[in-house]
Amino acid sequence: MELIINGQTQVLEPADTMEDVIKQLGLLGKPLVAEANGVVLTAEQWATTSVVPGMRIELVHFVGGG
Amino acid sequence: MSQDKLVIGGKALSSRIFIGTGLFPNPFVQKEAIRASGSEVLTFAIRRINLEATEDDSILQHLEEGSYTFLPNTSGARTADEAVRIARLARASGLSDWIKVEISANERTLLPDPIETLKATEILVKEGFTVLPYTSDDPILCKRLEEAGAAAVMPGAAPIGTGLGILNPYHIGLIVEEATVPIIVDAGLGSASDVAQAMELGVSGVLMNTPVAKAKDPAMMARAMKLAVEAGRLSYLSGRIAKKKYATASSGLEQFIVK
Repeated sequence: MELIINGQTQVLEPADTMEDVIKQLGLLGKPLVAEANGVVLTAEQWATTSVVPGMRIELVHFVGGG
Repeated sequence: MSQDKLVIGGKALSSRIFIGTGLFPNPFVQKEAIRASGSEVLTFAIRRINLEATEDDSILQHLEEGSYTFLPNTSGARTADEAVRIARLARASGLSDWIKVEISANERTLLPDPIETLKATEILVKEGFTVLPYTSDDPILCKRLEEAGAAAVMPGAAPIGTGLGILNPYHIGLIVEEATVPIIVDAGLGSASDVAQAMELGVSGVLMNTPVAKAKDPAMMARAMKLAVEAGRLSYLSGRIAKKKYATASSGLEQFIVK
């Protein structure tokens, strides 16, 4: 399934939820924040947030900064 | 001095230094410098995860578990709306509801956009964030940010990363006089003397990254900054002498031997 993740088109195996997507990318358990079509999700919401083809997803994390 | 706490958003801090986590040569040196500074508040930026290289590159893995307060920033934002979006992402991490509003539209100076900064502060305060806006050293603007509900206001000493020190000490002094929330000098400091000067002007604390991270010995500079904060704070609280034009002898001449 095609998703737009961090501004780039990514082809993943079929996924039902945001948690599936994050798992497929090998990012489960890492400190990150997900946004789906502009809606910010808490980690608790990943498993109940449905993913549809073409969805715009942002995956962000803390980096060094002042 | 042990009772001289800095209180922001209901949190009592013993240290008056906030340290930025960018630009350090490596995580080990960063950890040493943070420890040497005594800082309890660390700043971060929010960026996309690089999907091409998803090794553990999160900054958090390098930090010791401790009682740090995380102060994510909205750097990169050019508008209030972008800053609000970044703030919401930061809070969804579950790590902190503190946010440093940082909105710069001019790439050469990185000076904060005061109008967008005020707008973002108003929105984020309503959403329940503990908001610490990085802003211009303008006394009226700083007061407006306080009135909008900022938990602390953070005027710049000079543009980010320049190390030019406090370009307008008169304004910083006025900002402190008018304020009823903590004033933190953020950005532009270069050395321990700049930090001591800021503290002598009466600010509640300083936020630094480049002058520590890019020093030849970051941990040693971090310690210098810590001592400068303490020296400047004590100097401010103890009340310096007034400046005079002419000399006053330390010993009178009443009993001088030659008379």
